[in-house]
Amino acid sequence: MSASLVFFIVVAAVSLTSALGVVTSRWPIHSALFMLVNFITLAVFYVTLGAQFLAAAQVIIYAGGIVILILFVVMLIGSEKIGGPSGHRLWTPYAGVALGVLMLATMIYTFASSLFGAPGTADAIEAGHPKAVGMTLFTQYILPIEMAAVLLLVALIGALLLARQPKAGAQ
Amino acid sequence: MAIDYLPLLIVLIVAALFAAIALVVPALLGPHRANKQKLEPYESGIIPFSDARRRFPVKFYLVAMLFILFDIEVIFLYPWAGVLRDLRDNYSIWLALAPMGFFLFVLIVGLLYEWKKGALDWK
Amino acid sequence: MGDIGFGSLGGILPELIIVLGGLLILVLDIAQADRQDSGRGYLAVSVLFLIVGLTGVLLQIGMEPYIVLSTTAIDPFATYLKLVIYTGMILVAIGGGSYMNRHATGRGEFWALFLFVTAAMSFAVSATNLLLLYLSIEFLSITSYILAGFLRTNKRSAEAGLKYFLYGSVAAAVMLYGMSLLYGATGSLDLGEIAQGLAANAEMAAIIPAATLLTLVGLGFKASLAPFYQWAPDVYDGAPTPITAYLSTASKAVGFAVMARVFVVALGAYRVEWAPILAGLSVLTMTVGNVIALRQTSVKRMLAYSSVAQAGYILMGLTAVVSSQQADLTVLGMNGLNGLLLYLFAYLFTNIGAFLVVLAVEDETGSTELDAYSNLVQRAPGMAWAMFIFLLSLAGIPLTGGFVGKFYVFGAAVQHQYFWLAGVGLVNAAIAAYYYLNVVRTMFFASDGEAATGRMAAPVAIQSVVLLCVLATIWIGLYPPRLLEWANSASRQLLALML
Repeated sequence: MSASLVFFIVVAAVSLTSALGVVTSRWPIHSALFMLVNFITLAVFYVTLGAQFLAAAQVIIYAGGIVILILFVVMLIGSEKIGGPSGHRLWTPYAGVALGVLMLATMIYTFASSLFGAPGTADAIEAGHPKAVGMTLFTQYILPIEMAAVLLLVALIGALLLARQPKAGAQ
Repeated sequence: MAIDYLPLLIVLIVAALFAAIALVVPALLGPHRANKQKLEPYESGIIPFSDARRRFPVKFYLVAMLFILFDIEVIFLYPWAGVLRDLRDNYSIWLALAPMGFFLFVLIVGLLYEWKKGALDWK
Repeated sequence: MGDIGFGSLGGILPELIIVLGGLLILVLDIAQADRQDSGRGYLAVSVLFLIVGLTGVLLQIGMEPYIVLSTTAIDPFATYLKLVIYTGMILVAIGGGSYMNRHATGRGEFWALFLFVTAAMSFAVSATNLLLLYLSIEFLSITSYILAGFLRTNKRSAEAGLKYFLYGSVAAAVMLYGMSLLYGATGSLDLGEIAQGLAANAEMAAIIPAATLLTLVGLGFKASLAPFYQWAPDVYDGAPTPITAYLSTASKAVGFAVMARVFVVALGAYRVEWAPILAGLSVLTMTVGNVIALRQTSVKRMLAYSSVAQAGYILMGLTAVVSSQQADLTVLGMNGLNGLLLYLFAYLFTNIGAFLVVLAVEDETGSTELDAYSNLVQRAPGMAWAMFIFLLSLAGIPLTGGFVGKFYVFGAAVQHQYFWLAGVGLVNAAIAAYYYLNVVRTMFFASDGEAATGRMAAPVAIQSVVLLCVLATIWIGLYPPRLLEWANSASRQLLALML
């Protein structure tokens, strides 16, 4: 057994355990923290697959940002223990399981052909490097980037307008 | 490639080991004489007066939102920093700097805006 | 890749100017800190920048199509729609600006967002790349959520913003999934390359129905088509009336334009498959919109449902694009798409005008109910007659802009053998005429209610924009050759890209 396979098995085990933890935990805060672990293991997978920019984005945006936001929301709406299955509609767990199985089947169907095929080409592996991504972003996709800046500004204005208590007296 | 991340892995392992040792060694070696006062959560010696899991004011959420927005900005800066030299060599220094210049200008206007509107004041 | 450089910014100069205008307003707003102001200065600056943008677009008419920054097309199709968008936004800004200035907290923010949303729409209609397309639609949506919920102290406005946001984010996620399928199947985000990739890879055909349907959800949401329309009445009704005016015209035009570009350029080879789906949606949309509009007692809400119904007629144009042969396009007067474009232009003036009359009545009486319109002709004869013309145009009576739009759309449907579609459309138009004329009856011949209580003084800004809309509605009703030529060249250019 090669070292990389052992490494993969360990990370995959952590990843699956944390994913199970997200859905089975009764405390919302614990779910969020399990999700953080899961996001970080995903980043590790991205690195091993050569998608280094994606790994960085995963850590900075998802692990660093989204989980924080989820934690804040949990604290805002109160983090009481979640009730048992009586808390939600009867069919929702089954619908969730069915959709999950459907998604898994689609993924297996899609990837089955490439599972035993040739490994990725050097070009494909290089394309995930931050430099390659940066070169594409800052030449071909320069307009979307600048638009993203203005969109972030709009989101900022919107967040302030809608969430802030209006100051007494002024505006 | 992946080998570049070896130091990161070592740091992770060291951190995990440190945490494990810090938990395991006192548990094995320390005395265990628990009583009610000792087991209570403590913070600066103040006696707990309510459940910690109560609702937080909505202004925390605004801070989280602002954090996310600037967090997303960082992810654009990261590849740009990597290709700055290449852009300068392939095109020109202005074409390398101008896009990020505009990008940062827009977000600095945003920062000034929230500053002036008092979103950074904690009242 | 070699075409980046400052010179290439020339093509997107109108949008660039608009964005800079928005930033300027924000900086001005920051600079004057906490002081209260009337917002008139911002209104003036916004209108000025919009007019400069419109001038820039007018200068681009008749240019050879070219691609800017590898993601944006400057072509007759995009230029035509930018004319629609900028004209609409200028009308809304002048007519509805003072209302927003009076009721909104944060006037600087409002006008900055107003300019940003114009730029977003402008990019959306010219994007040839799925990434820019998605981003600009998302930009448009997010800004619209904020604008719809802008009157924070008004419960209905806040509700409109929230509902719009919830529906919109789900629709956007579904659409993104569809786009990712297209990318996965072809390895390209460029609409033209997607079409080539699909043509070269026959085994990818299995993915087309799923990708098409999922993409249609997001675009259908923007255009308020039938299964995805539920947000529209509540949002149009609850949002501030000037915002409703642009959401139901310019924003809807963007939905149709993007739908046309994606379906014709990227999925054109599969038109035999998607045309029946669009025909079905078209019938469903107009029927649902008209049947529910019949039961409304609020004029604003009635116009909201009528706007859903009108989306059904507009969609007929895109449906009828299909079965025409490539060779016909240059000789046929009606290719469906030019009907869609004409309809959008006529509908723009008609609907903005109608909503501004609603705004004037709302200002005076504080109500949008039908009762507030009884004997309007005695209180404000100008407004009543203008509303009369707008309602005729919405119903599609000859000599109004609405008739020209309907004529071209229905004509294209008949020409392409969609007789049942045209038939259902005609029945629907007859139903619609009933509730439009019901408003007319109330305005002119209400017998109950007490006699007129003094004259209603609408602001000069609203009066002049309404007058402009009346003139434009009648002008389009006279088949203006120049407008027809613009719509024809725009539609031909896009259809020529169809594989």
